Amino acid sequence: MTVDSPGSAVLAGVKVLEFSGTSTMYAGQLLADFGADVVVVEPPSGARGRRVPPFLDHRPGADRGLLWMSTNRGKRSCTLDPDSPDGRALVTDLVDAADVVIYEQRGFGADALESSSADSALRCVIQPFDPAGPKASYETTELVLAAASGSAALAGRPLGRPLFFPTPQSTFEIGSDTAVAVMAAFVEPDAVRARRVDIIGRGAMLAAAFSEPLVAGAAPSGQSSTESSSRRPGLPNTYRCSDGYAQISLVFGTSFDPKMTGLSNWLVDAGVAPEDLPTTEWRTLAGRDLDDPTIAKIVEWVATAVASLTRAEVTAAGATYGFFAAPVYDMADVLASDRLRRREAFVDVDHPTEDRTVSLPLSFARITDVVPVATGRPPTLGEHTADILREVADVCDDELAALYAEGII
Amino acid sequence: MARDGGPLAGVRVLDLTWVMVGPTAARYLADLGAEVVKVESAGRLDPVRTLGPFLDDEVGVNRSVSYHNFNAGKRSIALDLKHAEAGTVIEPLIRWADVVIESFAPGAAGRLGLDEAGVRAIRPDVIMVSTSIGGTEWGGGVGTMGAAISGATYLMGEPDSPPHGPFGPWTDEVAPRYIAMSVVAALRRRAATGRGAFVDVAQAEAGIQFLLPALYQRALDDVTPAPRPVDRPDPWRCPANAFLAGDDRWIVIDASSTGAFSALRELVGGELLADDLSTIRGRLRGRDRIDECIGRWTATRSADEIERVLQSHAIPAHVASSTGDLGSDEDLRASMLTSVNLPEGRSCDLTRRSFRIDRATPDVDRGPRLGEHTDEVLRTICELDDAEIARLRTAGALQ
Repeated sequence: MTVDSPGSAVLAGVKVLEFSGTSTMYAGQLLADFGADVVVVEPPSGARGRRVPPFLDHRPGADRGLLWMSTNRGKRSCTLDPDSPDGRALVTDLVDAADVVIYEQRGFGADALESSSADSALRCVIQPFDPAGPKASYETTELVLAAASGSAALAGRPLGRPLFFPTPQSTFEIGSDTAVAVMAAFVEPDAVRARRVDIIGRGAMLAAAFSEPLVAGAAPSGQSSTESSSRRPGLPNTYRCSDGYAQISLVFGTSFDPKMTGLSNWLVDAGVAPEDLPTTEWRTLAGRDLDDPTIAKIVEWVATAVASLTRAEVTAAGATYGFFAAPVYDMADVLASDRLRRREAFVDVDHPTEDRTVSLPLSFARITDVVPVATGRPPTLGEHTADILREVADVCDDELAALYAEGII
Repeated sequence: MARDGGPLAGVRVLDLTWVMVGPTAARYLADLGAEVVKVESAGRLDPVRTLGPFLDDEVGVNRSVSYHNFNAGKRSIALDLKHAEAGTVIEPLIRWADVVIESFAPGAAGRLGLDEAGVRAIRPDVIMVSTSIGGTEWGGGVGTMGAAISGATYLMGEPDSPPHGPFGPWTDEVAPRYIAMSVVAALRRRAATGRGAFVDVAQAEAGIQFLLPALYQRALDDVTPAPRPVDRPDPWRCPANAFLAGDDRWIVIDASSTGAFSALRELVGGELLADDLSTIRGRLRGRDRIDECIGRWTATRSADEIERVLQSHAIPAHVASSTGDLGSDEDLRASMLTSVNLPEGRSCDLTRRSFRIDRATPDVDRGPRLGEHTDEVLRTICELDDAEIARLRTAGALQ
């Protein structure tokens, strides 16, 4: 199910069993991208991830969730009810046939997996909070994890209302960290270098807080945490231009002096700033915000200089003068970008619900001879149940029919 | 500082990167057991050494806690890569390395002879990693640019304001995972085939992957996803919002599931007990009333207390953690944050990764001082004698 080029399937032959949850889906996807054989196990009513909005064309349906579609390409789906005696036995058979099993500690299949005697597969267990900490039993959702990781409060203005992505970040933050750790265990083709991988979801999302969790521990002793919280400057990041918005970074710190000099040269050439601006001692502005008169002026000049230009012109000025500038793309712009197309980030994948392919920028890495992208569509609910159960548990036709009749698969 | 534990034990990484993406990718490999040597220079200082937070707020080359965090557990050598004698040091290091990572502005590695061709000429089966915002298409840049190009910046904002974007140089935290997993993939392939590889990760393209549902919505549905209203972060869930607590901190409550809402209405009472709010549809329609009622309740309690009380009733809730909250959170202190001792005679906090391999909580070492291991690495890896090291130092190569 991967792109048909020599050596593309780095993980070919690695059998992954993913008991679907919103934090397992992207890990399974990435392993499938690298060529692993990924079976997504779902309850007979369908994985929770199939029910996450929004849906294609505003019509909810098991195969129409946009999060589901984008994180389940190229997997095979097997349904079973792990709480039934038959389901439990099948879980053991499935695990026995797998190289790695991924599940959420308190999610679908966890009870059956924890009590299963099968122990040959690497177990990868995901939980939202640290099992060693006081919040181990906390209930979470995407919004709650974004709040706990700091990313929501930090994206908002200091002490202002938290801001959230409209797309769930926990699925991707946790899924990508999980894939890194699991793949590391399979770094050798003929040996597995770990028996168990535990993932702390909040820990994966903490990356989005950058160095902020370290601020309190670096502060002079006696400084309160409230002071640490309010120290973060909030400099404008985007500016209106003639065809949308451009992103321009004001960065202070010795190594970034040339960038600020480049920006100020541009502002002078654009006729909006005084001739002596490039001689500013930039490093003295580090840590200041809009209250600083020099910074307020620069922000005003940048806004003026950018207003009549296109995003492309601003980006080009950044490249010419040597400052950090980029166009603010929406998803329509991303799909229309010649620059992304020229880098061959676009890959043809099967349309999730129709019999055709779509071209999407899904190539996150170029590796010699390897295009890590699973191109197959996501499986329909239980699409491969019969094949998989015949494969791993020698289930015959009548047994399959009986299991289905009882709602177990 | 060679590590004996971890699945990547025995893997050697030469880290030629600076700022954040490359160093963090190399730290992922170190956290999985790889041995990492970082090349840096006083004449071309890693910009993160000039960025805070600094120990005790005092600026200094070895005082950046961000630097420690991105480079924890690595060894550092000081080497001027443009010096005529640089090859004496860098060539044996390349021969030693399984993986070489560079994050120079596109084109710069070639001018130093450190592009794929140059490196592969010295170590034919090397895994050469190059990362940038978007290759030669975009030139050098930072993660705020990657966020803008990937679509993330546009997706977060406030009504009637320019797009606000996520916190910080967003793709700088996204991309390292893709680099780390690609390196592992290339190592596995090399073990099977004997062939090295070139790995190219563009940070803007990595960012797109974290926004896939939005990409799919545009590609398949012809709808261009927009930022959500700030007071309505999820249109399909209610109550699911941030509320101001009595101590002027924000608490995020997501009690949209039937069970969580039942528990919440018992605790909060008042308007939440209204009959029409017993259904999901009733709650979506009564969103403003619900948020107002919860807001009145949260306004008389501290955020920490609300988090504790709601969670004790199995209602998903958490303080919207600020900088100060993160540093003092007992959950993070359990194992995500760890205190390391520094030569400055004090300690600082560093983060661990989210993964624990075989139930081990890995040790985290501080980051190296600039050039701390120059002599050691030159002697043991480059096999240079003291006289040769002294000669290189006098010639100005080791700075």
